[in-house]
Amino acid sequence: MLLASTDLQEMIESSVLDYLKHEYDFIARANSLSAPNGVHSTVWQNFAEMGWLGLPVTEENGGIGGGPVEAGLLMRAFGQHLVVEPYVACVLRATRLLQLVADQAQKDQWLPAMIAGKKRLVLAHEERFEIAPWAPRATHATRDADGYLLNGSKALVAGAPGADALIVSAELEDGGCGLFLLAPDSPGVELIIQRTLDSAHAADLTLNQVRVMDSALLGNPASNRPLLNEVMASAIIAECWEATGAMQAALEQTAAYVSERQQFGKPLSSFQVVQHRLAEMAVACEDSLSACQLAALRTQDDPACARQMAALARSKVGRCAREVSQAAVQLHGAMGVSEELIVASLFRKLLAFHQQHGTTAAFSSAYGNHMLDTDSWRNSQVLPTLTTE
Amino acid sequence: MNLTLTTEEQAFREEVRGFLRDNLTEELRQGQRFTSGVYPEPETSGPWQRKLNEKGWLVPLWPRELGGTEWSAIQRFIFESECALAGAPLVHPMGVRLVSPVIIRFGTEEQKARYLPRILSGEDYWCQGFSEPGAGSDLASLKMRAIADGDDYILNGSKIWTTQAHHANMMFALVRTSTEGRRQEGISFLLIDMNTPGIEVRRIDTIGGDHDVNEVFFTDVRVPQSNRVGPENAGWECAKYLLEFERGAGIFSGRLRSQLKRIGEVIDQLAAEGQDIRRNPQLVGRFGELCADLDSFEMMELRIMGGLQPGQNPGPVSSILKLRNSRMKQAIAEFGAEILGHEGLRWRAGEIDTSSTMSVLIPDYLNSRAFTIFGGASEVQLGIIAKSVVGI
Repeated sequence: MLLASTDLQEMIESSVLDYLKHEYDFIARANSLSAPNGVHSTVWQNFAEMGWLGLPVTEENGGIGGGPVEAGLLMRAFGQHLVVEPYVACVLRATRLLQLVADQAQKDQWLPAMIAGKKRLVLAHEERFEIAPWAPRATHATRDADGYLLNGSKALVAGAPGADALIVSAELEDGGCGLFLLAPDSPGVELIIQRTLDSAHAADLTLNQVRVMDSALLGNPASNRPLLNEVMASAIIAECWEATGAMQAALEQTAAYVSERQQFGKPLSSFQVVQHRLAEMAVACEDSLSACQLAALRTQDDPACARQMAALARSKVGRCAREVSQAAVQLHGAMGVSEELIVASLFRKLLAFHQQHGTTAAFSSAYGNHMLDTDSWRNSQVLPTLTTE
Repeated sequence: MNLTLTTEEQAFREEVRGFLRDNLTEELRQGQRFTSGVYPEPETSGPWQRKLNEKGWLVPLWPRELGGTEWSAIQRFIFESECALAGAPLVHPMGVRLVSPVIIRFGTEEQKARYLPRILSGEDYWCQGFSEPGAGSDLASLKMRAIADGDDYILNGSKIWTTQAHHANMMFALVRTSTEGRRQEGISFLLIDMNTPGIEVRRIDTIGGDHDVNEVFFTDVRVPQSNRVGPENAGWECAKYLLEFERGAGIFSGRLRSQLKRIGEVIDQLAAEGQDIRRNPQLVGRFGELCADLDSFEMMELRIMGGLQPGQNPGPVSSILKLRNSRMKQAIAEFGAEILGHEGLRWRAGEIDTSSTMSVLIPDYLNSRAFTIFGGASEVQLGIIAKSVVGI
């Protein structure tokens, strides 16, 4: 058992924190927000140079072979600094999925360009009012002599504006899980640009009789589903790390604010009720980090448990994020509800985290059901090979 | 980072399991299962302590030459988890975990030679004389006087909330030897023979119906000055050192899971009687939250405790562990009470029906309320966290 960071993990964490501290301040972030499609080309190029665009790609495919822990450390720093570039959508979802399911020709066509920051793909998966990312899609693909016809719609696809291609998930008639590579300007595709709570750029996508060739099909529809689910689940775990970073930033901002702000002739931080609320925030941050670490470490050992670990992490981090974000705004007083301070952005980032993939309560129930069904709650979860009695 | 056990860790785990298979009798497990108070009774913890001592595993944290194991932090975590999950009794901590580090660090050679072997053998059963009627969270305000008289001190006053004082033959206590200067600077740390004339132990009934705690009265009690640990008026240092162990040296996640497993028996029983909690969405959701909380806590404890070097204490972050452990204990107990529903109305004040663990869930819930109070109330821990972790 190794509880310390590996060299790679230390390298990633120190380089990302260093980079964001120096190159991604308030003004740089504002530049990214106003950049076309919410992706600042210099920033994205820097991500490529740092190796982050190839973080989850194996070394033989030109990446650095990072797993869930490496992705988590990067995402925590992204959360702390509220990075707006669509890293999860493009790298932890699209790039990972492409690497897992694409054939060699497709990989050769896309992966090097994606890692180099020349091409950007996103996974178009979410649909309106879905209850879980693993629920069947309403978007469907009909087979005919020339290939497939896609019909349906996708909601608020992060990073879609300006993407070079979309990976669209769709149900096949035989129950298979279709994953199609699609040019955004294909006939029948309509992209309506939207902004999301976290200020990111997204698009609603309508697919009306969109014609795709067999060559656009990724992977094998009969075996795609568990791979897609694992990618989705691992991305959810990464989002939990990102939320944990945002929570840490909210705690630090709040601690600094209440130490400065004077009322009744003394700093707010001298009031015990304020101290205790800050302490509760710190406990929640520590809790969240622990949930993220457990989820990442277990998934690192066994990708098949990613869904359960995503449920665990979302249940825990979801509840903690509510507590921390609400306390952060409350302790800032009226300044907390103004746009002037970063705390409002952090609050919206954490709210965006909540709005995705179904409710926190649903993840708690999923975890409860899993535990009761498998009886694994009777065993240690950090020494998972142990069975007792 | 990874959670994969090395070959050595795996072998160690097997050794611990083998020991548990050979030594943990059904009777001992029963004793622990039906414990609703904070610690099991001596007839349960005592025999288990002797078996651990024979094996040389009773005091992992002691220095090697005195009986310590020199385990790595991860070995300790494995050991504690395995014992708890197998249902082994909790060893009474007052001697082996609390007073012994103080004696080892601050005691004289005579004190070490006398008390450490008796702690190991269980010959001495210790209780803690810290709190007083006027000194709870504000421990430094304690008033029990110890006035020097020849080679002795004469003690007058009282201690309260003294867990298992009715079983103990020894007490370690904080007493006031000076009223000058800072309050903390007039306190001494004494080892007191409970059979000394003038000591009276009075039972306090607790909310859970158990006899766990007592009030202990001291009237002109003579204690030799040679029973003082450390210099006169330097007892606060000893107390702080002890509290570090009380808050920071324990590994609790396995115990919490074992508490949850006890509820599991009731979950199974309810299912057999047609009341399967799996069919109740609210309870399933709550159970999922509990598991997510417990699993995260286990990871937190492994990361913090498993990362320690020998002899190192976790420091202020132990307040986060203490807070989380005590709340987790309460949350699990609350869930146990919740699923019992109407059946939980049965009240047997202090008597446990050993035909089903159903009978311990309500006392367990009631007694669990004490966990956020003793060893530094949650409010005290939050203050420490705000100052030391957040840096206010």
